[in-house]
Amino acid sequence: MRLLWLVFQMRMKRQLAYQTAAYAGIVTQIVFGLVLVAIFAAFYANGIKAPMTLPQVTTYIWLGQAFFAMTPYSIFPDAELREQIRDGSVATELLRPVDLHSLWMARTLASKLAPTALRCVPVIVVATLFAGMHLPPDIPSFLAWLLSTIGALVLISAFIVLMILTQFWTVAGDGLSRAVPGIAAATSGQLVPLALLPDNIRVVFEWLPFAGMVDKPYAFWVGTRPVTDLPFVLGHQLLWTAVIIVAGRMLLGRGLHRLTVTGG
Amino acid sequence: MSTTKTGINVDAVSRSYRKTVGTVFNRKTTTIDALRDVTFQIPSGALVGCIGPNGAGKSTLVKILCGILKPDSGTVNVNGREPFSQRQEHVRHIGVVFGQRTQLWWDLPVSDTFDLLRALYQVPGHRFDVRQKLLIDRLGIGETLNQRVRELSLGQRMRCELAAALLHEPDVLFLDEPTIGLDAEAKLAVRELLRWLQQTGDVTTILTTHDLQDIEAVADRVLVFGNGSILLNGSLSDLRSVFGNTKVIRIATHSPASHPAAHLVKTIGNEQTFTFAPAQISAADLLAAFAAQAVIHDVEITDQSIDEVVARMYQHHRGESK
Repeated sequence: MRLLWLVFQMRMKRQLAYQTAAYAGIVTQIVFGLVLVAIFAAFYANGIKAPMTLPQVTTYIWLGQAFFAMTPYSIFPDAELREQIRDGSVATELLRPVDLHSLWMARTLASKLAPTALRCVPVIVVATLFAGMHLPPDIPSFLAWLLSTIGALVLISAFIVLMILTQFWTVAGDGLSRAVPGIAAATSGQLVPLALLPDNIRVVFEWLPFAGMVDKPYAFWVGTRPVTDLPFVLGHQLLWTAVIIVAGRMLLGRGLHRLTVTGG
Repeated sequence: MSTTKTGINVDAVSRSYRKTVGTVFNRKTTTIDALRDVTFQIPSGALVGCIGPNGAGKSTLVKILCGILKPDSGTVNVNGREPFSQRQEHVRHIGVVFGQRTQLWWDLPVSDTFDLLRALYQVPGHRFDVRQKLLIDRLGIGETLNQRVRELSLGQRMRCELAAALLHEPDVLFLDEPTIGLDAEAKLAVRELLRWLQQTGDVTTILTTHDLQDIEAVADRVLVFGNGSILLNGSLSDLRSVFGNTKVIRIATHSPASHPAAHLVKTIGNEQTFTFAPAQISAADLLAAFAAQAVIHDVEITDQSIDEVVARMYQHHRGESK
């Protein structure tokens, strides 16, 4: 835990060291948010029937922008780590007396959380004041959102570590870093809220791990999901996190075996 | 804690790599023997220089000793630990510096990396503080601590790397070309620290380098690698005497002098440089012979440079293995 806290602090400092990037990120998110909101507003103005109201969709979109840095869209937030595996210098990580998977989880959690923490508040404030975003309907919904967002963060980090680990085999890694964000964006609800999808597709997506990263927590804030669903949402996140961590540890074991036994 | 200081014991260690070359349709797998049946011991507290041409097996050996590469056969024991099977326990007690790679956090002040290392190695607080202060004073890096790593000069960075590798009081230290690219002052600082470590006497150090002056300055012993085997394991004077002890004599004269037992290397102005074997002719006799031929203004007798000895050794070895 202490290690996680330290790594987080360092990531945070590092983020702060590049302030221009943080400002640019906020501006980008606001511009994108405005465009997306305008698109949905146009649909609704033409009188489509949808299970979500326009204010709900608008709020959902702004959440997506506020927490963009946390979405599975960028699956290699830690360029250093990726580079290390690619050029084999990951071997030097083996010189540390710690469990590698835990260390990388800590690094990834931190590298997702640090930029999110910096960007989410300004975006939410601006969007709420000027661009039609709503706050959660009540305190329980907010708490349900908060808890499931923490669950989402852990799930995303586990998934990203798994993606990083595939680098042991696919040296370039560009294939995955292009294919996976597409799949993740579509099935997580980042592109379109899952509630707006046709039922047969939606049911499948709801079961996939990605829904737990974006759509499920957002739905609590927006108010389209009852707070009583919280145990199921957390259960879904936890189960997938466990599966992905187990898979990641297996992959890491195989990867290290390759590295240490065959020499890479 | 398994910190019985038995030094480094390597017994009949071999390691080979498979290398795939060619296109998808025409693949060939060749096996490269990086280490062949290597055996040696290093007593605890010694500083051993490892030299050899690129690809001779030095870094494979270091990786095996660090526990990040598994030997194909043979046994390795470092201060009572088996590096590969007890990796996590082993790496807690070793320090590693790669001259061409940094273990410091690039975008952050040096002190942040030190804090992280403290957490990683779980060193008790006050003990860490004492150690950190000692190293900072020794290396003179007090003022660089708050600078970002990427803003440091290579020399400053290397001092910080050394401190980082020693903070957790390792009993073995691996240095891979720690002086590469350093200016004279920084090189001297690195060597001075190594000497200090040796005096305190509880860190066994393996230094791989191409800079033989590093070795002359600090090493007790030398391991010379060639083609996966150890060509020589001994002291510096052992290394010098491999091809018979050769010395160099430089004389400044009015007119050229010569002697059948002295081999003229070069003539610059009125200065002549010869090599000779003391076993064949003593320096005094040679000098007397020169003095009989010409008036000598100045004379200097030195050992043959270790670079030349090693270069000859590599050449000789290549010739043999063909």
